[in-house]
Amino acid sequence: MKIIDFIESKQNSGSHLLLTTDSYAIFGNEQFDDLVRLGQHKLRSAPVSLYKYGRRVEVSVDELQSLFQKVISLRNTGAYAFFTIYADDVRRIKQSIKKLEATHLRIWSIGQKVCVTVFDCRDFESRNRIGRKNSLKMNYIEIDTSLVKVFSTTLNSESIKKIPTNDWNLRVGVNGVTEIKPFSDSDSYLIRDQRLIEPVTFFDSASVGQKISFQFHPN
Amino acid sequence: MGKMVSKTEILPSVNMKEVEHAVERITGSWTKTIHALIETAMLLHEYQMSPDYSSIRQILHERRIIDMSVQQILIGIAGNTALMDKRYRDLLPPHYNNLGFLSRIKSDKLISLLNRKEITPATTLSDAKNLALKFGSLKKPQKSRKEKQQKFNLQMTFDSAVDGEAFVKELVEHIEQFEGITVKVH
Repeated sequence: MKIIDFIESKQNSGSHLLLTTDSYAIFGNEQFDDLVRLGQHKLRSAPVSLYKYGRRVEVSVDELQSLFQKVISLRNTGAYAFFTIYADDVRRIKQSIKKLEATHLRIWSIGQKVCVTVFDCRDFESRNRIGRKNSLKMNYIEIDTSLVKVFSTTLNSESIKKIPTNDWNLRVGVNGVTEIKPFSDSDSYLIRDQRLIEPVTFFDSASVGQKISFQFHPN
Repeated sequence: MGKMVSKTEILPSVNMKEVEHAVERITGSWTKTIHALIETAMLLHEYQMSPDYSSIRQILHERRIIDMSVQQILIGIAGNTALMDKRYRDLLPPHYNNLGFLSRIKSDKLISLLNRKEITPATTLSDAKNLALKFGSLKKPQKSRKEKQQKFNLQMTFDSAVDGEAFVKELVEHIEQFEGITVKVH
């Protein structure tokens, strides 16, 4: 593949493409600027270079190499959790995002399980809530895992939409960066925690034998 | 009519005690394989939480101890709670490729397959792949119109002493490990 074809094939993945001799990083645009896609290429004699929407930007090689190292260093951190979300659950999450027009999803631990909550953060603003018509909707699923510490991370829905639907391996870093690696893909996707929590609490009630959720009303 | 030729074959008597002893030893050793595989998978999974996980994986790859793609399969195995459940360990096939396919099936479904004895230590690679296609997220590779199909015919002749059918079966299993290749046996 020629460099020009390679750059064109990656144009929908983000605004900026950083190319090194054997790897690349694509930075999301304004809608998903919390996302970086990392991959390797087999282009012959690729120069260390930066492209903005397909056009080369003049930046020194040293600066670009230092930027690439910074991106790579985001992965060099301990993790709260490492687990798999299977393709059918990934599909459900994406369908929920579409149906609820959700802005975010929060992934958090409950014991040895991981819960994913899909929500629209605009619904929680008091000025947006007018009576019962604007009832608050959220979807959530639980996933069995084997190795997790207590954690919570909130991801931007727009970024999630950019990741191919397949089985995902997720690594939730203690630095607030989650690495998602789809099985089908050799690329990794790094997403930054948005530090938002929906004002809802869940618990299993032993006395009622049901799952209970409470929403904290803004008023 | 020609003369009938009668043949008498004298089989050596089998020492069943020795045979059983050999089977027991080999079974014991074979069973250890699954435990070693799972242990390696768990270690890789555990070190995924370490800040140095990327270097650890790179060194294992560079020193040609475990290839990156095999590491990925092992990590997938460790991420599946059913495959990690000690109760089912002796029911699993002791091959990472077979387990890799099984890891693509969600744990609740996998448990029901294990309980129904649809997965056993003798589950072959093609069985595991078929189960992953049927119950998991593994998809058959889609061929685009642009892609040209290539066909190769291979004719094999066997000496009468060789079990040709068994050999072909074995060969097909090996070939079908590669994605995008289908084999027809006539």
